[in-house]
Amino acid sequence: MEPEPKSPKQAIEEVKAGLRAPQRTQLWKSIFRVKHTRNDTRTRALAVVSNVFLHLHPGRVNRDAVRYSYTWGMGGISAYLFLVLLFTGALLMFYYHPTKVQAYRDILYLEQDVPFGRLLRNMHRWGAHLMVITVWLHMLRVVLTGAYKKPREFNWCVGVALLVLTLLLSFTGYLLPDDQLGFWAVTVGTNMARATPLVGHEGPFGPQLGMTPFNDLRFGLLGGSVVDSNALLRAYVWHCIGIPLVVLLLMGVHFWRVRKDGGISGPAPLVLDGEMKDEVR
Amino acid sequence: MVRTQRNLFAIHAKCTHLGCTPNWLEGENKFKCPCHGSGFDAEGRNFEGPAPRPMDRVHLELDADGEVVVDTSRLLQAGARDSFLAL
Repeated sequence: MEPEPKSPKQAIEEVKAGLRAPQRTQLWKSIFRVKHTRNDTRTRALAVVSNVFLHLHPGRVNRDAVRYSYTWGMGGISAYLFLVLLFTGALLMFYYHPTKVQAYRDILYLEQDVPFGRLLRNMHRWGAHLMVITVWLHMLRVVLTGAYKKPREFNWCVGVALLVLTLLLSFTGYLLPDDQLGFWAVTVGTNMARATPLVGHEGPFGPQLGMTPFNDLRFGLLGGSVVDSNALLRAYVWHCIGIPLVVLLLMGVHFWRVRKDGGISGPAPLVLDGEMKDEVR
Repeated sequence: MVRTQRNLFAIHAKCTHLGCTPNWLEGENKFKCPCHGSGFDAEGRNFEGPAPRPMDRVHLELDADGEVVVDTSRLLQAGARDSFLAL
């Protein structure tokens, strides 16, 4: 049977009740899940553990493992730089057209005429340079502290993939201003792809597999045999859609594994071999 | 275009390392690639930097009127037959 439709008076009463005690509404409960009415240790812990933003770090961490002198904070800085680049990049997309006629003019327009355009572009540019540096330093720290060892071997591999993707983002972004610097950098970079084994027309076994300048890996990267409008469009799509999607996915896996493997840094201070679960060992 | 005592030939100005365009430096009498510093002498021979071989040349021939015809679509390695015109 259909429930009786509410009278307007009833509906108003419900809204009033919700305003008086918002914690009792279905909306509130669906978001927060845990009652915060009692003020004991268990309730407070639950409030933290069931909140994604308060719970990005593990429930307990070793005090020594989160010292900045130990972690350098480079992983976190890289992640925040990625967010800065995502935001400034999206704003730049409002002004930029990936075509031979307009790309460089858009850069000049951003630099000279758009309010805060030069700031915006340079935040993206310097953020990108910085992120390449901080990701390398993060990797160096992980090596120096042995944090790639058991149980973090898999996350190390995810991190290596993220490093490669960071470099690819840097490389594809290089061409987008369509200036001399980017043009020649991408000319050089894609000419290296000629020598790729198997799929490059100047690489080992490439010619034997039927590779020519018009069907090999370089041709696929450029969308042609020279650095031209197709290459610009491909760099744009990879830079703004393809690679960021994969990076976001792998960052999710990376952060989740950081938590599951016992928090940032380690391994020795945080999880003793005796404390590891049997399945992990 | 290069004219030596015995030959005439045309250099294809593309670095044999990774494809940038070397600049002619009058004062140093050489081609210098801005990307990774390969140097080529006045006849296009590599003598410094990472370039593995001399710059390529483009096909030259004399037409019926005795004028030099340059065909930039036909690239030849330096020293190959037809990579120069004997004077």
